Amino acid sequence: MLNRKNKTLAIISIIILILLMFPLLLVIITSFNNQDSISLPIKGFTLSWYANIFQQPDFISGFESSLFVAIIASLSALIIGIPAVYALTRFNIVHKSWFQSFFLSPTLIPEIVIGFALYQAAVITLRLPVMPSLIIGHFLLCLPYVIRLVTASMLLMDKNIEEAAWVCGCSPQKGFFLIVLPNIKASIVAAFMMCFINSFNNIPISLFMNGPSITMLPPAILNYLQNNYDPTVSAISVVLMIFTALIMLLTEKLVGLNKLTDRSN
Amino acid sequence: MKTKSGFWLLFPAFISVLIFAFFPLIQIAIPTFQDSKGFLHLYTKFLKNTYNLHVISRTFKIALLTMIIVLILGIPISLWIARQKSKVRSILTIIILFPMLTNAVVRNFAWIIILGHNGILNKFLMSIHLINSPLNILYTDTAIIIGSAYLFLPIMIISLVGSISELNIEAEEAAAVLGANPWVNLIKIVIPQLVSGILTGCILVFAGAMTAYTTPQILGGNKNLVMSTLIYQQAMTLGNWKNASVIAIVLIIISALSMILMRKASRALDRRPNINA
Amino acid sequence: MANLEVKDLAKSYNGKTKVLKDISFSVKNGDLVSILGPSGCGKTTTLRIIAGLIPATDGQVLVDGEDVGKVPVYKRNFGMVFQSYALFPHMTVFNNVAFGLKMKKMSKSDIQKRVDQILKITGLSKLASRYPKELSGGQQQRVSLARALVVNPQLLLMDEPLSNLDAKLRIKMRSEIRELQQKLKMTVLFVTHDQRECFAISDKVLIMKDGKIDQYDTPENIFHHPSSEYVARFIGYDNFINVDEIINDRQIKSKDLVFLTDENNIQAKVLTIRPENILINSEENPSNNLIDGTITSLEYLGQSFKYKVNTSLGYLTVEESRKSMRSSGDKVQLYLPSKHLHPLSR
Repeated sequence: MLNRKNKTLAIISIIILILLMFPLLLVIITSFNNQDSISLPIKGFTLSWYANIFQQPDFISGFESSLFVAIIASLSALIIGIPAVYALTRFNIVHKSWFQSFFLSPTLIPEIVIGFALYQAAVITLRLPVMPSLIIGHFLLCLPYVIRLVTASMLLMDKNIEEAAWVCGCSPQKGFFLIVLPNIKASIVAAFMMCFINSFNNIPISLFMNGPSITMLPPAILNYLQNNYDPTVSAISVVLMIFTALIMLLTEKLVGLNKLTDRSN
Repeated sequence: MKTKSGFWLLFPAFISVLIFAFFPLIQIAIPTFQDSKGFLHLYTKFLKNTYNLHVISRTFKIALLTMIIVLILGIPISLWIARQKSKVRSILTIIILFPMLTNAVVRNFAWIIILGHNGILNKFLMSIHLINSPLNILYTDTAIIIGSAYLFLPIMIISLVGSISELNIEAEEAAAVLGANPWVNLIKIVIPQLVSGILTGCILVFAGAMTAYTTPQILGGNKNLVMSTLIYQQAMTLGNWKNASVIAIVLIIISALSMILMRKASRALDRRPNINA
Repeated sequence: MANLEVKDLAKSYNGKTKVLKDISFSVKNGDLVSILGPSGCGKTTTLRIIAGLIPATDGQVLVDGEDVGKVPVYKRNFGMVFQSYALFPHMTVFNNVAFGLKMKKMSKSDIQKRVDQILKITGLSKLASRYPKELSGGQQQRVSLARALVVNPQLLLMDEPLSNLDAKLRIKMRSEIRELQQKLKMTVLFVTHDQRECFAISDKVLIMKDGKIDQYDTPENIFHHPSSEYVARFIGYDNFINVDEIINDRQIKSKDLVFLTDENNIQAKVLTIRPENILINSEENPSNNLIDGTITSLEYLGQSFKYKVNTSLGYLTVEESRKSMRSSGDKVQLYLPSKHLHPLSR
């Protein structure tokens, strides 16, 4: 049987797992090297590259604005997405599947094109400030995650639970907050985490709007990498990895990591 | 329940996708269709240019090869992970999710360390005297494909593990009782049931690799442009906004078309009973 | 508790698919009425319309003479028990039961008192702080019942409440429900597809077919006088004899056999008889209502044997409680007593 006891399968799989972790391990090692250039094997140990992160104003302000954009975009995707999911799963909407596809359609548009088009429409044509335009772009990135994950858990929830609340004298509006939201809480947390991390890590959407007025962290690192080849990049990479690990840990503690990959079909 | 209140719940999401996603697209698309030299002239001009065609075919090649590599690597490990006991399985899922959720700059940067002129791959190959002078892998299409495969492998694994865990292992046991060895089982029983899951994973990887910006930017350098890096170069370096728009539209059309085609194929090939009905 | 009256209820979707037609019946205060029918006959739809969960296309629902058609579900003060129990998974048993009282903005101490009382009645006092997923099916069922009862509903609606329980528990729970109903003098509307269940506990039974009422009567009357072949089949009549010729109001002919009936059969299309009422090789030496046949198969039912007998009128099913078993191939004479032969007009 092709199960966990199959040796060939096990060997191939372990090699692939090592291949997945190995590059990240290299990054971690190089971040402690006391040489001016990224090289292996390392000649001596230093933490100065970590200190150097704080000498880069782009990294500091980039972290702040990336954090801000990710939180606002994720929250707005939840606030706008959850009611839509509720309507799609609980009401007799005509063209239900059309709407579903429509809300997922931003995933069909390449992120670089979303960034480019928004920059032209919002920043150049409408002269909108950069920050709201960035948030709009990241909102489009986030919305499909909310739609997918929350729909999956709405479909799993017994419709009768809500009806039972109505029969008990609870209005549908109240029932949404007292009964529905508590029961899809896990998928909401998972959706927020997915939105947050994908927004925080995003480059293509931020790329065009990244400039003198606002710096986002990933483009700032990309920029630094193209002009310098010193272990500062390794150091900030390690910081980002720790950041990712913390988010994963938080998700696991709150709802379980398996919720991140729930599918609605 | 009433449809009217349903409409008001849908409205904000509907209007925001319409205004934020489709309005800007239309706005960049309209000026590209008509110019002084006639309808669609910019597109015919773009497609007549051999350099541009080269970029398109490179983009395709990278996406296709990435998809194939990721699929070949993804199937065995997904089978292995999906059939672990739940505790081991969740640890393995963490190992897969971690790179997936780590910033793409970090993941591509790691491959500079490996593939670079003085990178550890060249050092290793030279130390065992397989080569005498360093190979130029970094800043080639190969580097982009390796980086993309690394970037998208976790997505494929997660997608496949999902559909493998829906399989009923009794079908394989039935085949084994009838005399099928594990590899016959894989080809004749497992993969045919996974067609839909495999194609879903392939769509994600193909479209992702096709439209990715970060990997070709970091690992491809300035010479090996793909469509997404070409858009950025045309717009921000050369200031040729109309041309960038043309490429953007072409990229949307190509990636959307391939996704629709693959999704159609996945529906046609999926012989499992429809459980969503 | 209250009287319920349903008048000319109809339901159709998109103006086309008619799922309910001309549903009219009334339920007396303190009665338990079952709606019986196979899945898809409209029984759950009827219940949900009465609850106010879905609107009727036509007709009225009157509670103590008042039309509640415009009253939204959450203002009707009914209780409802769902097939899936529909307990709130994020609340303890206590909070599940207290939910309806909280909605009524009752004071905390009153809620405590009332919930404690109802948990005691339903035997749940020890489980008050558990969550639904920590309960067995039967316990969940009780919580669901307690939650419906706690608000002193005017009407208790139950939608296949026992169908998710195993056979033994089902029988236990149904008598508990009946006892509670009689103790609290509740008006209950009980939807089920299980004939034995509903006959055991109901004051009246409403049998539905294809969105219409087929028969509405007491269990005894339905059992002895089914109104149609459909009802007869539903309540366990297995044998149907086509009426070819009506000789007079007590005699009919099927093929070349004459049958006597005690009931007037002037409009009969079919005669029916229960398997246990047919006698094999009767010692009474009857002179009429006899038919010859051969046993083709048999089933052991524990208390009795069930035989399939091939006769000139087709197969008849006979149930006989006897210690010794007859065997396949035996030639037998069947006696269909006239008092058990019921004429059916449709």
